Amino acid sequence: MKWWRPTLRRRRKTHPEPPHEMGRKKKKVEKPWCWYCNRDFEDDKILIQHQKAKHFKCHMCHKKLFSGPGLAIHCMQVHKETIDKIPGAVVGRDSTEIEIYGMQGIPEDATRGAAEYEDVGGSSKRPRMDNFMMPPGMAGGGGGPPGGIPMPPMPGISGGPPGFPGMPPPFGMPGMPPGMPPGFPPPPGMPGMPPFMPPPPFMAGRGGPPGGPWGPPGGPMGPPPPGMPGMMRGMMPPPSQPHISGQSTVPSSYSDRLAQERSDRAPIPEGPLALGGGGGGGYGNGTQEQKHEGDGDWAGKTSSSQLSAKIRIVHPDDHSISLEERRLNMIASRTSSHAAGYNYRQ
Amino acid sequence: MYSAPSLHTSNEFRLPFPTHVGISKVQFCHETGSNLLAVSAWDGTVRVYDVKDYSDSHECGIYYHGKPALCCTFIDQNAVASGGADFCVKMMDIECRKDWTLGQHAAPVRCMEYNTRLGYIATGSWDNSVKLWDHRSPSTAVQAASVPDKVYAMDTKGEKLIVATRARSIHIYDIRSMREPEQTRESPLKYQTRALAIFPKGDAFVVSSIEGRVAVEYVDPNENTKKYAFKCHRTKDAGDGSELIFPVNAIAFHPRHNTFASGGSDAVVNLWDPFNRKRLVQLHKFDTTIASLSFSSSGDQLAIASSYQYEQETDPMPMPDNTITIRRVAENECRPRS
Repeated sequence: MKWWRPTLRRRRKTHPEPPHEMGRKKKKVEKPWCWYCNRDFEDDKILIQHQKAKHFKCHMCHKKLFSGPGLAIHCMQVHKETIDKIPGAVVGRDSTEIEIYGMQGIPEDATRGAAEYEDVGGSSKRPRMDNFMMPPGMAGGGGGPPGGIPMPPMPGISGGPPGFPGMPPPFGMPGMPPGMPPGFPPPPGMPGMPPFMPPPPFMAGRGGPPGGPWGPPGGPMGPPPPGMPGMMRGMMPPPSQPHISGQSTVPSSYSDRLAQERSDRAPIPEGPLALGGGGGGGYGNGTQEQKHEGDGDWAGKTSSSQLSAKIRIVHPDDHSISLEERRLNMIASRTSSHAAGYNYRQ
Repeated sequence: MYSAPSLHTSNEFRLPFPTHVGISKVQFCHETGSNLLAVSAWDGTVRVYDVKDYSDSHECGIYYHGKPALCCTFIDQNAVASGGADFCVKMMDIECRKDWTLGQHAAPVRCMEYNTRLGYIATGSWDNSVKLWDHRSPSTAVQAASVPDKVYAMDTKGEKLIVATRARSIHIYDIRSMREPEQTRESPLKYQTRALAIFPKGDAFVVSSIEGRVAVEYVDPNENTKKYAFKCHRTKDAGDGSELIFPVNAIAFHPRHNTFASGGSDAVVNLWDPFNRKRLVQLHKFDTTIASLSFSSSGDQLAIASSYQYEQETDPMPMPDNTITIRRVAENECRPRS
């Protein structure tokens, strides 16, 4: 029986990994792409920037959150509003429940363009998107470069559910250009998937709605996903890297890629503001912050109010002197230069 | 006179305070039924106002320090005390309008609070010491304790005196024996401490820093699993994603509900519910930095001192007016949401 096991595993391999199995295929370098709008990007950093700016930004206070669930929780906690769609997402990909960060967390069976496969005419309206529209079962090769030729269905190897190649779309989701009001909401949970698919492993494993920026206890990263090689663990940033606290555990089949992504992401300059996760503004995530209070020594000694390129404390640079001391020094120097400059008796 | 344009809306009004005078601290009298408010100012004055309402609020006492007055507190309805950059601890009998010097520190007196339980005035100074004074026996401090660095913030309630220093250390004293602090710990916040206030119940305290952050800590170390910190007083520019973080200059507790107000250099006042970890209300933006806040003894009025503290890179031109606003606080704005 052993002989077929590798095949089984291979069958699960889906979108992000090129089909190594087919030796004769040219290995394409796949660009990261945005699950919400199918746009592709030069690298993960830019993709994440895009997602934070376009899809995870709160429309009320413009705070950039770290994930869809994070945005939903932020809106609920801070503004007391529920959002049911991720802004700027194509129909069927606008669930606020799925936790996507860059290329992580994409449902295993999802493929590029899958949520809008029906609308061939619509493709011309979206030059920036890469449209080759296939039913999920056909997209075995995953997204290629724009204009790439769709691969023929490869039964048994492709990512879709076995027995589905060439199936008509499971629900008549018209692929609309973004911005058009959706005719009807997608089924909650796993848009773009046939309703009778079993949940992909990461959803099943996490049970319930994603934890959002609250993350698993014991550190923002949570335990390493099963199947993560030990050396990869070493590459991960230390748990005090707060800006990835929105991460969930990940499907094991992504592990190599994720480890790579994580190490890529580590140097993103986030500044201390990222402390406490990207969740609700202010009060809600107190426990999170407390967790961080004890660990890093990233600040304290710093004497610059410019925390990062865009983040600044409104305070003079020298933090070892209070505003009052500084003001008294100012008064003292003024009075010494102009004898009558400071007259406290009015 | 230099009185401010008396702007008043249905729930707030301004005191006739000279708009060109920088404010260091405001404090309501703690005695029940009293409507007195003390104001220490950068021109060296300490003024007392009788705050009733818009039409009937007037100054009822003033005296001077030789240098900027940095702090003030009420002893009772008839006596106010203050500390200043002249190193002096002064007090005034409001009825007789007579003031005198109670004693001295070796450096400017930055903090002052009155302990109602023992009847002492507590002062914290940049001479690395805290002192307790009995206003009935002037000239020498009742007790004194040295701390490792300049005192930046301080509060006292019950038998507790909590001192925060420049070195970001926090010292918890029992007022009855000041020889040794009961506890010494590091500030939960990474940046310079700006304000400290003890819960009316005395079991916990709140610290704020220059980096838009407030922490709630418990006196009992065993209870500190409940401690937390949160960000506030920040503004984000939607256009370019830049963010400004403001010092949280003032913390004031509501006398009955254990909720508190915070005031920042963003000119905003927030009221917080520390039990449900929620913001109860955000008041409108004031002209400039919130320098100091104080609830009245009944808890239905909040004094808001808005006064630029020279924290910005380039000072605003023209200088914004210094104002003291008395805001009526409705019960639902300051009661914890259950």
